[in-house]
Amino acid sequence: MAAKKYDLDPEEARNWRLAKMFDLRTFIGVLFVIFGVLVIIPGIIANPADIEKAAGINLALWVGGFMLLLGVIFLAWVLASPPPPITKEEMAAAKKALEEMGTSGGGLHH
Amino acid sequence: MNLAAETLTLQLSGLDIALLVIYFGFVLGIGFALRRLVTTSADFFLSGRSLPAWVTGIAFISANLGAIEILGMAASGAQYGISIVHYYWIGAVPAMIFLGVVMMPFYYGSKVRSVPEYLVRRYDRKTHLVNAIIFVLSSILIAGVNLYALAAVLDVLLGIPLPIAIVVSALFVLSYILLGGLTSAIYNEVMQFFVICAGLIPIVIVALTEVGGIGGLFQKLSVNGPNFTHPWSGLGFGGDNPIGDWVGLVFGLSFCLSFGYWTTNFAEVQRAMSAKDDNAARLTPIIGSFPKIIIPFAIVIPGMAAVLLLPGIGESGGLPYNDAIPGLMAKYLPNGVLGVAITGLLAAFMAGMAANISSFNAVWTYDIWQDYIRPGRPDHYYLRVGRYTTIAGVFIGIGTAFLAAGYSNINNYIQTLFSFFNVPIFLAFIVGMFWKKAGTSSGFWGILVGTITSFGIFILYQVGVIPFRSDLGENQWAAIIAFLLGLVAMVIATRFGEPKTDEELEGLVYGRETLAAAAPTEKAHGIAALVKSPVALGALSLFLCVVAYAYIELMN
Repeated sequence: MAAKKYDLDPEEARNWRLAKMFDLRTFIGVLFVIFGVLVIIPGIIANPADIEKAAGINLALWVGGFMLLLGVIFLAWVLASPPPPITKEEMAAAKKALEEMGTSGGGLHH
Repeated sequence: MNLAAETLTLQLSGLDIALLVIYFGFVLGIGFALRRLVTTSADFFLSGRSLPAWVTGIAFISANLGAIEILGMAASGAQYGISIVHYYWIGAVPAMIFLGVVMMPFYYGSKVRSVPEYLVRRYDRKTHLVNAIIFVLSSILIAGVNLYALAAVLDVLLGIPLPIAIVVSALFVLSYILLGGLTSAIYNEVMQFFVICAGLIPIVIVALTEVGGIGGLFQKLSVNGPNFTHPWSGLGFGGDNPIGDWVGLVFGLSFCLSFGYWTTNFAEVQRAMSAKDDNAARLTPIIGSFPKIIIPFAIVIPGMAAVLLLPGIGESGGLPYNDAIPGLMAKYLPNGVLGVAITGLLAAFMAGMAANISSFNAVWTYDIWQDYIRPGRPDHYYLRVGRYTTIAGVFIGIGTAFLAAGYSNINNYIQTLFSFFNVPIFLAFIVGMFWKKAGTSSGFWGILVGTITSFGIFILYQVGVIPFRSDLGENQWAAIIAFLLGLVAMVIATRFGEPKTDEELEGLVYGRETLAAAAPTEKAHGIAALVKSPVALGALSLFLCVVAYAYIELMN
């Protein structure tokens, strides 16, 4: 699926880049790619004693491999469907609504 | 003979420590990254009501899947056997479905910002203040207990001195909440969930390989009596399964206790309230229920396997039951995987504490400071109060943790003390939502009478006047009786008190939901509508619980 084209001014484009970077999926993806690589390496060079310890399963290889795969899936997901950009007007409206919510009180002092 | 309990110390390699450091570096980095997004108090306390349902759903289950839960439920599996699955499939999933399908529209649709705020609009200030104060006290004290438990694990497993472990972990939690608010806490909860899975799943695989699968596990443990491997054995009156009798399980555990915890505990409901729309808020606990169904296979089953694989566990001289999971980690996990598992466990502790602190924050700021102390200030004022509250909360937590380190029984006292309030508060909510006539002051009287009842039954059980088959049985029956007597008090208070007018109840009671909450928000049809329907997903989740029970029977 090709990414949709949006008409954004420079500030909005910058905010959108930040939103994609701060998306939770980006964080999980990067973390699991790093973890996967670090865990899979001892799995590749594991000696028979390590494998014997874990009931004959090369755990590091499997766990590292799955973590790497999960990381790649999360990164692919955020690339395939990034969060939609928000225009300045929408952002101002959302901020105003949230501020009102923060000061509305629990029906005690209307 | 050496009677001192065996202790467990993990041998971490450089790689394991590197994984730990990378993870916690990430968490702080997220805090800094999110800092610029937090500009209003609702951003700080409700995550700007912007998160998708899969994120809030995982955070919902993760806020409950603290390390105390992981270690404690594995210990219960080792001690009581398979019957502990009732605490998941009867004692949690139905309540989560009920929250999503029935109760969430009242919370999200009525635009309350916290659970106590619902009570002030439905009843009166007395009821509200009681709930707000109890919640603030319990969450801050339980945060301290969590912190102590985390530090004790760091002390035992990694050899970090207790005082240093307490202060360092507390400052860590403080910095990421202070920076990113609730969003930061939720992001960490979701990451923690995936990391703890990556740590637990290998333990399950190795443990089951060693004992010959679930069938082999049950067969080898059948020498411990039928109750240990059959969840439905010994549940009749006069039975001897310590998990309780079936009336206590269905009405006490499932209805009173678990509905009370899942539907009114703000640390949980806050995650659903931060969802981006009404439907996402309703889906939050239902999405969370699917991992909840699977979790016993990753916690209770390894706990039971530990009985076979860690000989002497729970006996004098052996490891304590609480060390079932860390013991299996130390015995079987190779370096690297061990680092992932330990990271997941420590992250679970911090997530538990952060969930308590972030909900404490919101209730203190909105329900006590704004409502009773300094009303009517601009929003940025409350945002600032929230930040100071976080700092104060973490320092009270540190104080509680040091207190707990000095008097180890204090943990149990705190848990027991606040358990007296759970059911009566749930009573006020459920009656308030479904009985339109319930009077203005009835909520307060229900909470008061219910709390005194559960406290009274606890005392009578402790001094031996009323016998129950186990502490769990006492807990369930006290809940049932407290609920019924509290209900009587509410009916009497309604009979002699003032009712609420229909306008005051708009959006707060069954039959008067606000339009946005009642009308289906999705226009999609067919499969697309089904995967976003809280009712369809909730039914699927309940069906999977039945399948899980059938599977356990089949393996026996």
